Amino acid sequence: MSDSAINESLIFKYIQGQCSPSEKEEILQWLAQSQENREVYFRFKALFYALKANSYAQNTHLEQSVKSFRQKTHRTNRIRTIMAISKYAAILIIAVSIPLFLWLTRSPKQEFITAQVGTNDPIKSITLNDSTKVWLNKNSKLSYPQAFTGDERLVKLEGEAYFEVKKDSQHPFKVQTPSITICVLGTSFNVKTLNNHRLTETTLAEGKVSLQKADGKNIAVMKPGEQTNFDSQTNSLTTKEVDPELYSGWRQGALLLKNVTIAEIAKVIESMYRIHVQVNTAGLESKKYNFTFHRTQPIDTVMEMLQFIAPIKYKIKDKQIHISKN
Amino acid sequence: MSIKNAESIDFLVNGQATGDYEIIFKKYFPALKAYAQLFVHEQVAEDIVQDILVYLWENRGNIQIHTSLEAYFFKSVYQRCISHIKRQNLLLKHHSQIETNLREEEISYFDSEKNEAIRKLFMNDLQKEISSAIDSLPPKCREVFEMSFLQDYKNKEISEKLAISVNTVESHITNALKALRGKLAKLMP
Repeated sequence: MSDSAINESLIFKYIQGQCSPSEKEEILQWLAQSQENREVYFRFKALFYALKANSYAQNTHLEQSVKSFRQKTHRTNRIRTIMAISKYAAILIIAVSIPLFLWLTRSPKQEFITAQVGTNDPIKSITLNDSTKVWLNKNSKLSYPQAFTGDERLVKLEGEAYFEVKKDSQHPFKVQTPSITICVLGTSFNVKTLNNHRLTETTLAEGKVSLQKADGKNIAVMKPGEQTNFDSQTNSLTTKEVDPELYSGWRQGALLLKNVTIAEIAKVIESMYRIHVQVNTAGLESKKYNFTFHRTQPIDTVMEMLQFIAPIKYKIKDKQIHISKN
Repeated sequence: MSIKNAESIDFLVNGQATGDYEIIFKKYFPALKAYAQLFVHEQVAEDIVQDILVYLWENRGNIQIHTSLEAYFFKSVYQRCISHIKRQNLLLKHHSQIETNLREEEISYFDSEKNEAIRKLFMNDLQKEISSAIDSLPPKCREVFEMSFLQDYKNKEISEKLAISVNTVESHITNALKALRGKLAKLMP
């Protein structure tokens, strides 16, 4: 008889998971031999666990299980009661809340004030009702509510502005441009829309902001010193590291630039005078300069000063400045 | 505390207090948990059986049981264990095909709908026969068997406790199983 070849204690060792690899090999071989062998094993296994029922029926063990069962059913009993009550409560709440909602929303539909700065106007500094500070550059428009209500603080921007947002983690501050929305907790950053507001350039000085597309999808979280450019037409985002000072210089008037390249100076001039600057100074890319000027100075004067410190020449034509190597 | 199945169902339909239901819990829980361990580990077995009993309690007004309560419980445990095994892909985790096949055959053997003796075994209906078989073992053999089978001692631990060699422990177990083998085959044809 094939099954007599097995030592029965091996069957039991296998049930208990106590077999060594070679013993396991042996028992598996034996089990593979015949269904009769397998049934012997199945019966022993069933017996082994059936006898466990006796020990589970003993008080110490059973009380534990009953206790945990009690907790579960009590919890669901409580939930049932709450559910039953809440049915009526829900009806009551709806009945009360509709008129209440209408009453609450009857008055000021959050009215937006629009601040606008034209080409010849001076830069405007605005303090919002939450004491967030905004500097609005030339050719820019900012819409904001007289007082923030609701969960978020939303303002709308076309053009360029620098924000020093009052920290309030309960009410995220959001800047909506025609292409993206910038969500802020408390931070300082510069926003500029370009190309007929298709592009939004965001430069973060401190804190943390996240960018959302018009559909509310998050596209990026920015770190201080980063600048992103989002193009709503191609749906593309580019990120680079910059010195945020260079992009917020326009709001202070006087500007002290230290250890910067011609290209970076050109950026500042662009931002201050809202004029396009083209730089073509091959060979000077890595040269660093210190340069100070004031925004009340006419652009010609500033360019002459720059020409004085760096080996460049410039041409102003059609609201564009061309800088090239001298 | 013993209740017949008919009474149990009556309890379910009319019994509003959890206290009544606890009698049912206490009656079936040990057997169901032990039965579930044919398929899954102890902790999973405990959770599955708890879930089934809680589920029945919560839905006591809506569940129609066409068989006996006992058959309903065993079937539920079986189904939940199988779906746990499938979800966790436990069958594929074996190292050899032989083991996988063995587990599959075993799962079908332990199906209480196909094998009613299994249910009887776990519900202690066969207890008399089993205990008389165990009682008739020689004393030392019986002691070793009980330590091993009932108290989960490893062979090495038994050898230390009883100051006998591991080989002796194994031969006691072998003899006990040999004696029980014929009896079991009659009880579970």
